[in-house]
Amino acid sequence: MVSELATNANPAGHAGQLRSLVTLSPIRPERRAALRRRLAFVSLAPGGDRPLLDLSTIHFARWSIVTQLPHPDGSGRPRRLSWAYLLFAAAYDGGEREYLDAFTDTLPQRIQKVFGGCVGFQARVEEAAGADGPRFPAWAFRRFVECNVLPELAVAAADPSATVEAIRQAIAIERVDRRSTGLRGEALGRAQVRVEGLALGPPAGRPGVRDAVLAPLARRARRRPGILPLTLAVPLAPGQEPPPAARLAEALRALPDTHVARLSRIPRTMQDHLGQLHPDQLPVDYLLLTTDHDGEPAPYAEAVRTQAGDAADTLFGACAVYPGAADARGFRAWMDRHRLRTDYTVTGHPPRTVAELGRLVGDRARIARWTLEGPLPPAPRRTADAAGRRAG
Amino acid sequence: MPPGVEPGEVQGNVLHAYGGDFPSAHFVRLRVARSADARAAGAVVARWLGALSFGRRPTGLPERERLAPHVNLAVTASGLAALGVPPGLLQAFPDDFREGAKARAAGLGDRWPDEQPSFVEADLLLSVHAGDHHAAECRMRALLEENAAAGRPLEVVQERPAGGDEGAREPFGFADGGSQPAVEGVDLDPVGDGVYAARIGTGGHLRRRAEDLGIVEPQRGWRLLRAGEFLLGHPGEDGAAPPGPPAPLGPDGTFMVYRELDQDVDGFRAYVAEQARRVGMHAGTLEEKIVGRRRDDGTTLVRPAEDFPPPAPAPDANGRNGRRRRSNDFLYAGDPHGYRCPVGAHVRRTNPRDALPGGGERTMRHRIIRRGMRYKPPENGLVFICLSASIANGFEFIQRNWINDGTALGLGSDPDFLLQQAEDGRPRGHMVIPGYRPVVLPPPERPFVTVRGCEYLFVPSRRASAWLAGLQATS
Repeated sequence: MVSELATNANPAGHAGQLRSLVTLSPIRPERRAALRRRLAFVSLAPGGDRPLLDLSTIHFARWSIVTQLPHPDGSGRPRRLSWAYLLFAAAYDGGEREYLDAFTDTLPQRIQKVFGGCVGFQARVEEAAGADGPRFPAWAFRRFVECNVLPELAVAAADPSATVEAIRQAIAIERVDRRSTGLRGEALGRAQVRVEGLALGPPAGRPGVRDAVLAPLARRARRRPGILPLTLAVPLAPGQEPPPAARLAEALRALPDTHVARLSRIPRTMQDHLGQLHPDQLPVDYLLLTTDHDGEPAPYAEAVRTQAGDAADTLFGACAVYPGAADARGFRAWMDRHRLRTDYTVTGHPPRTVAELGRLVGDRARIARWTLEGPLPPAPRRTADAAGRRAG
Repeated sequence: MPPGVEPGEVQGNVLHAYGGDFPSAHFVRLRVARSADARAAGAVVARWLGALSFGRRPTGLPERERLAPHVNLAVTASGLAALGVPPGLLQAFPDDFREGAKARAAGLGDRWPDEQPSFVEADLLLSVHAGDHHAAECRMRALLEENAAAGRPLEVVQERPAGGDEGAREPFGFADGGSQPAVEGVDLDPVGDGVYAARIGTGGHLRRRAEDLGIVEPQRGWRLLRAGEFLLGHPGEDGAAPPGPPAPLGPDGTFMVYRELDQDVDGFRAYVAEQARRVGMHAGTLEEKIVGRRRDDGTTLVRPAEDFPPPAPAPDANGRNGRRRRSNDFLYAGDPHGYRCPVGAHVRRTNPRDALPGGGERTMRHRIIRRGMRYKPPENGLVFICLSASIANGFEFIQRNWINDGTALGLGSDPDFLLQQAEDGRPRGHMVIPGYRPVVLPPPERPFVTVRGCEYLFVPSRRASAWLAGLQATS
């Protein structure tokens, strides 16, 4: 049901690997407008991401209301669907069940407001133990997701072993490093101690107002895009099948400037997933590519075409009227025609490019290794206990 | 009390601990002898089932009766099959229990199936709790005599005397088992032992909207855990009953993990002494930082020792004295970086309370009742016993996600420093004690704690015991 990037699979069953989840759920017609307003509200409200960021497990998440898909003939003209659908895609750390439970247990109101408008979502709440008011049953959300999940063909990440916490700590180290420029003596020593602490963990702390509110506002004001989502829905050519999962994963890994990329399949007969209520019968299966990438869509498309043309051909070679990466104009137009709009997106850490993150996470790992394995520092004048008491 | 929770139906020492009057126990693991007549084995088990203790320990009785030894019985999946439980009914048990501890050991990082060949899987766990070792052993001998009289259809796999005069202290010298889940329908006071959860639906529309956006923190408070987290047949935190067999076998029963942990006390002390010298810290303080609680009184490190008054004579609603209640009334949110109690400290990892990102709700499906006891001296080790309605959600989750891996707590792949096992010959995990200058403890030469063996067992209710006994009579 949920793909696991097994590049660092641990035989002891440890958690901590990036996982991915994509669902497509029909929205009840009378709730569609409210859901659209809701997504617009949380995407515009400063700090709207904060409760999600507090979970510290989400790398990227996106919600889109899909009312039409590109026409199956490959022309790209829109084909209106009978129902609107909520597309949800997420990349996260840890186990699937823990992730879903964290949503329902800590953000029940948000879950109900976003997914409550979908068919099959049991919106009833029940009295919680201790008479502290109603709560939403977690099993209902798990079952809802299970019924609406899209089969995933492949998934890839720039650094599948880097957890959200590790990335946040790496970015925090960068900040300390930047501020310590020009420092000398004791002040420099303090900065060094702070860096060591961040490299070794524990967590850098929950995102504050600066990261969750001010930084997004500043990015919006300066029109800096940060990390953007891309969603492509592409019809498969009749009788064609995508290549094996290993080849698809390899192609996804080759995509430039891409943090996470997944390829899912929207099946033709969606009633298998969605039950009898779903009236949309697609003439062909669709491939759904969702990526979180650096920069604006147009330069990204060009980078994919020029730097990973073969990978793009592998991914979409079985699709109807795919022009091929060699056709620059055709490729760009084809991508534009098959792109779906994203209504709300969340990024679990302050935006940095793939290259920057790779460097920062690598630096953090090196500092941690040096601190753990290198010559240990002399005994501190003030003990950790004393520092703890003072901090407390 | 919610309908359906009948503590008297549940075996003793599950919802209500036997407590300080019963510091000694004698555990015997048995299996049906290959050459034995299954009916003879069943008849012996049926007699034992009739001797089990249920519910809370009686009060108001003369001391002789009040302190009479208590007998408990738990059965593995193979044991249930040997006792004649139909295969269809066995299939209704969850996979974790049916597969057993040995089959799932690798997934938990356990190496005992390869490294401890002397630990043989059993069918039954018979235990007697008493006021002293002599009383426990005498009662156990009397029970085993019934087996001998029947021609020994059950063979003893292992005997394990446990407990001692030192009460609840484990061999490293720390108090153990002080914090137990507060269960709806059983306990009245959730403070410290329940789940620290948001009070949803409180406040007006504007407040709810502000909470939704993360502008204000939700109001939080302690509440009781649902009985279904610990008893089959009752709604759990999910709102549904945990998977298990139908009546009469399932309801009010629970699952037990029996685990023998050898403790290298000398190795632990020597390591701590060496590291204490190196980092310039008092050895006792370093031990407390590794464990996460004070050695002398078992109180948490996140609050100053002065916060805990001398024991109060009057027990609270849960039967705990005032000191115990106050010593459990703490949270980790005020110490997010672990300056007082390190994030990697053993007790903080195994019961993070509100320390997980998102809040205390994230722990509520992963709580366990612990009824462990130290090995009988002079052996150093712990009979770790935990009870929950789902082994996968309880013990296995904690082992996999909080002990073997630190990702959930922001500690990367570092395992629990105290419980870490050897990988390729020696432990690999470090421990960081945050402070003005973080103190890094390198991996020890050999593990402080070694798993000797593990069993997954089913603890039948009174009705299930009667049904199992009847099954032997009709077979």
